[in-house]
Formats: sequence, C-alpha cells, structure tokens
Amino acid sequence: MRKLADELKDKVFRHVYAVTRVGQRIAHRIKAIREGQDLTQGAFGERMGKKQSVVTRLEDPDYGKFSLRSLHEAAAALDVVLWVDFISFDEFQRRLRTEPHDAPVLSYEAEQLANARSARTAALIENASSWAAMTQGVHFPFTDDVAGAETVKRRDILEFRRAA
Amino acid sequence: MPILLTFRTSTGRDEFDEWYGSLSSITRAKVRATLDDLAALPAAQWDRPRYGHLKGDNWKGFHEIILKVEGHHIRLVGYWGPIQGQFIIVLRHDKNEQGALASKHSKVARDRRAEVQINPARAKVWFDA
Repeated sequence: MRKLADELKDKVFRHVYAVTRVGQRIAHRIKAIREGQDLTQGAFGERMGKKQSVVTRLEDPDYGKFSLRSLHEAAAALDVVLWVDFISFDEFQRRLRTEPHDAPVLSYEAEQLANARSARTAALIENASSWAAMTQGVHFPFTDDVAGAETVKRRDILEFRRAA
Repeated sequence: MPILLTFRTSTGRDEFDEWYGSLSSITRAKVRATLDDLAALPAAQWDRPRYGHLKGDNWKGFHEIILKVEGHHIRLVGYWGPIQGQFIIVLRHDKNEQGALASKHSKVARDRRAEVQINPARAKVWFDA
C-alpha cells in the first residue's frame, strides 16, 4: 500500500499534491455551500455578476486556477468568509482526513436568524423554568387571565413545549 | 468513503502500482491527488468527467475512473466489490496507445474480476486513507 506520508517526503510531489488537493477542495466547497443555500449555478453566477460557465469552472475539481479575487467574489455571493491560512503538511493531512468538503456554512443572514432563534429559545426556557418554579404544586390552567401569566404568555409556553 | 483496490497477478505483481511508480513526481502527485479526492467523496457523488459507467454487455458491472496523465487519456476500469465502498481496479487502459476499449480488454477485466471473486486476496488496497 502506498502511504501518503511516505510520498510526501518528495518535495516536488508534496507541493504539487497540496496545490491539486486544495484546488479540488475549493471546487467542492463552493458547490456544497451553493447547494446548501439552494442556489442554482445560474443564480449564483448572477449574484457574482458572472456567467454560469464561470461557476461551472469554479466547481470543476480539475480546474484549479483560482485567483484570490475570484474566490472573494464567490464568498461575497454566498455571503460567507473566505479564510486563507498557511499550515504544516501534518496539519494538511489531518484536515484532509477530518474536515468534510460538504460541511455546512451559514450565510450571514441565515446565521443571524439561527442566533435569534437560539436566543429566543433560551429565553423561553428560562421564563418557563422560572414560571414552573413559581407555580410548583399549583394547578395552572393555560389561560391568559390567571395569576403569574403576566410574564409568561400562553403562546410562549406552548412554543416552549414544542421546542422542548 | 470508497477505498481503491488494485488487482494483483498470481505472482503478486501489481501493474497499476508499477505504472504509478514509473510516473514523474509531478504527475504522480496529480494522479494521487485526483484518486484521493475521488476516494474522499461518497460513491454517489462520483460522476463525469472523472468517473463513468461502461456500457455494453461485455462491460456489465464495470465502471471507469478517467485520468488525463501527461496528455494521455487513462482509464482505470474496475467494479464495486462485495464489500461496500470497495472499488476494485482490474484494468488500466491508455486510449492514446491502445485505441478504444475493445472486447479483448473486457475479457481481461472479466477474467480478473472472476479471479478476485474466487480469491479476494488478489485485490489489495492501493493507497492509505
């Protein structure tokens, strides 16, 4: 069996291998993030102000001739951040093994929405916990006009129950 | 994720690895990168232009991995083994040197598949994950 670690001892091999794998990964990442946002190649191209053929090329794992500028444009169209870094070959191998190319990335707006939902759910849980402690042992019909209901609305309780 | 295996002759010869080892460092790196990248994708995502299904009765059950190596159009013909995710390569075909795939090539592929089916040890893992 050919071990990658052995092959990487060859300097020419390791740099060509890295360039090729990184290019392939970028292509897969663009495609996966685009599909995660339910964007067609055409719609993504429109956002970038480019033709669909440009998107097809960006998503071709054998293309590999990206400019930093075009990748920033793709990131802007997907509303995500392009993050470039220098890493060791050990770290490179580790990332290849452990970081799937199709890991989801939320756009800025999707992330804000998710954060708002999390905050709302946390507040509901806190409110409901306080309310449950306050009314412990008391039969509490789910109406809006009973004692204690001024802080926790019926719809919030029901939403909390759904969330829980 | 899929794993690539290569056919070995009864004497243990691996013509695929011999070919791979004969390539320059640059070409070897590109070939390995492409094969590793393919192996990192779920089989359901293997698609043209790097992978395809071979048509015709002679090629039933066979698929190809397509590589462009130093101007040569290389096809690595194989099949999905009985163990899920194992793609077993039994034939390397150079279109530039050997022309189109012919029935004589399919016979070699089928014979080798039959040999592996009888003795699974005739197929070995090519690259580490």
